Amino acid sequence: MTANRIMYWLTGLALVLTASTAQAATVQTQSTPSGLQIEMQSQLQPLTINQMHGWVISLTDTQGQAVNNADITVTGGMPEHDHGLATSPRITQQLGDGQYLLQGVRFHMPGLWQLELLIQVEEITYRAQVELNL
Amino acid sequence: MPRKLKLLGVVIFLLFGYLAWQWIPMPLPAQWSTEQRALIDSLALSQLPPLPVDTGNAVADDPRAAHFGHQLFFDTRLSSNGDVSCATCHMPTSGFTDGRPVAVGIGTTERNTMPLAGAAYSRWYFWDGRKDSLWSQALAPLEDPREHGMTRMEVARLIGSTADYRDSYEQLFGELPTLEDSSRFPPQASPLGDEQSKLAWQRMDESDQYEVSLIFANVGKALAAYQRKLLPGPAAFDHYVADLQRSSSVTDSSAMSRAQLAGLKLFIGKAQCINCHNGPLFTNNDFHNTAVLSAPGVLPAAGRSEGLRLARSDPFNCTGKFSDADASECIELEFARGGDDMIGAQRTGSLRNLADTAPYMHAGQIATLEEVIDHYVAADIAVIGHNEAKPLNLRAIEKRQLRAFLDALNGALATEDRWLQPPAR
Repeated sequence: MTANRIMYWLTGLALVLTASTAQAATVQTQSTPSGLQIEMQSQLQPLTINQMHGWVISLTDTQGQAVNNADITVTGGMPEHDHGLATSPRITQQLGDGQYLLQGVRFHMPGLWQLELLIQVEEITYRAQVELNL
Repeated sequence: MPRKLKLLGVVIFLLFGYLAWQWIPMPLPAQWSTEQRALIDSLALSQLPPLPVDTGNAVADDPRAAHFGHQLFFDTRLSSNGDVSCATCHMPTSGFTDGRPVAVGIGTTERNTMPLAGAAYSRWYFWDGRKDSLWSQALAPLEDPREHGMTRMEVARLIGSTADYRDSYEQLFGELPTLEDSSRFPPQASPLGDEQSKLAWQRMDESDQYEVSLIFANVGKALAAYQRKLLPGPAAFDHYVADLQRSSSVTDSSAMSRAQLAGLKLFIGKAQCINCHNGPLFTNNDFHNTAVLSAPGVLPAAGRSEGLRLARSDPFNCTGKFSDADASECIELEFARGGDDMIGAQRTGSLRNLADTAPYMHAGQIATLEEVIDHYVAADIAVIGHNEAKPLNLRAIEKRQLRAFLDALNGALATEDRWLQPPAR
């Protein structure tokens, strides 16, 4: 194998790795206080800036059971630039099986974004945060 | 050696050291990194998607509407003094701007004229985004007393009384109602005009008001169809990106100078310009507070916080009765962000063809691109809201390289010449 060919494969591998880390369209986190496992899957694949899109948020409890009828509020922003989200996303639909449709998300700058979730389940308020590097 | 001479030697050494630090360029990399290359590619005009569909404007891509809009765009009869057309401020020879700090029509406005090439790609219009479509934007200057100074009744009458316009209109939008009954349709009337025009408007039947507003809205839709023809063309930067497909060496292409290449590296890196000036149009068409001072003697502009409030209450917005969109399609309006967070935020301008569009910023406060770069390097505290930008530690040579790169973004529009001239009458 020639040096050029090795470089070719290495570049290809680097591209795949960059795409899978920088634009991961599924993120997972846990709530504070503990009790909820949160998974968020973007409906925009790959995740890119300047496009309005939605996410499906899945909530499960510590036993892995789906959590329905939660009130979820999503805010966030870019800590580096001290500004919030470009849009005001909100949950527009409960999809059942612990899944919720979040619509109206658009990231308008490359860089580190934080999404803050406030999740009300019956009398308990949970908080969670996910980070996305675009 | 006398002590004074030694001291002088040290001072001269330090001075030369400082000057060298400020002015000696860093060597360019042999290859762009994978990340840099992805960013560079993302800015190329070849990445520009097809024009977005305007669901609110059923004639947006109808050639007959573009033809009609072309005629309207250059017609000075669309003004109270017969001297002002859209092209008075949006001059095709100056990148569809006017070279003034703020636009001057019948009177003097408070805002810098925005260029039009690629405007159809934006989700929001005006500096503060108080309009959510190109067609709706086109209506506001017509009724602004400082711009065209018309009332919508006069606009409707001009369409009805000009044979060509009547024909064009009826082909696109159906039969024009007759406006001859002056008891129903007074000579001047508008909900936004002077007191007399407003009073005349209030006295009209709601159904007659609707007929007139519908003609007015359709005029905006024709003007938008024309403006969708105005698109940026490839610049030296785009030729450079095309050359990169053939050779990945940073300096193999002759499309950009070494200074411009260094400027590009800064643009996508240390200078952070790409944060907001991203995508093939070098704008995210979103809203940012970058602490641009208001024009002397003028209060700071509320910007997007006020703009979104106006867009939401605009009868010509995406959800309004004059829009061809289904309300479910108006997602930008539905999920838009306003409020106090957006105080002082103005829309990011495109960086393509800046050579034609000086002076810069929402009230033309900054005369030159050198001063614009100085503004972002300093990143002072905002007078209202907060400055999202952070100070940049750019050396003198780097500022010059960044400035040189901006010249690589000038290119002839990708628009047929006939659209850039007044139409034959």
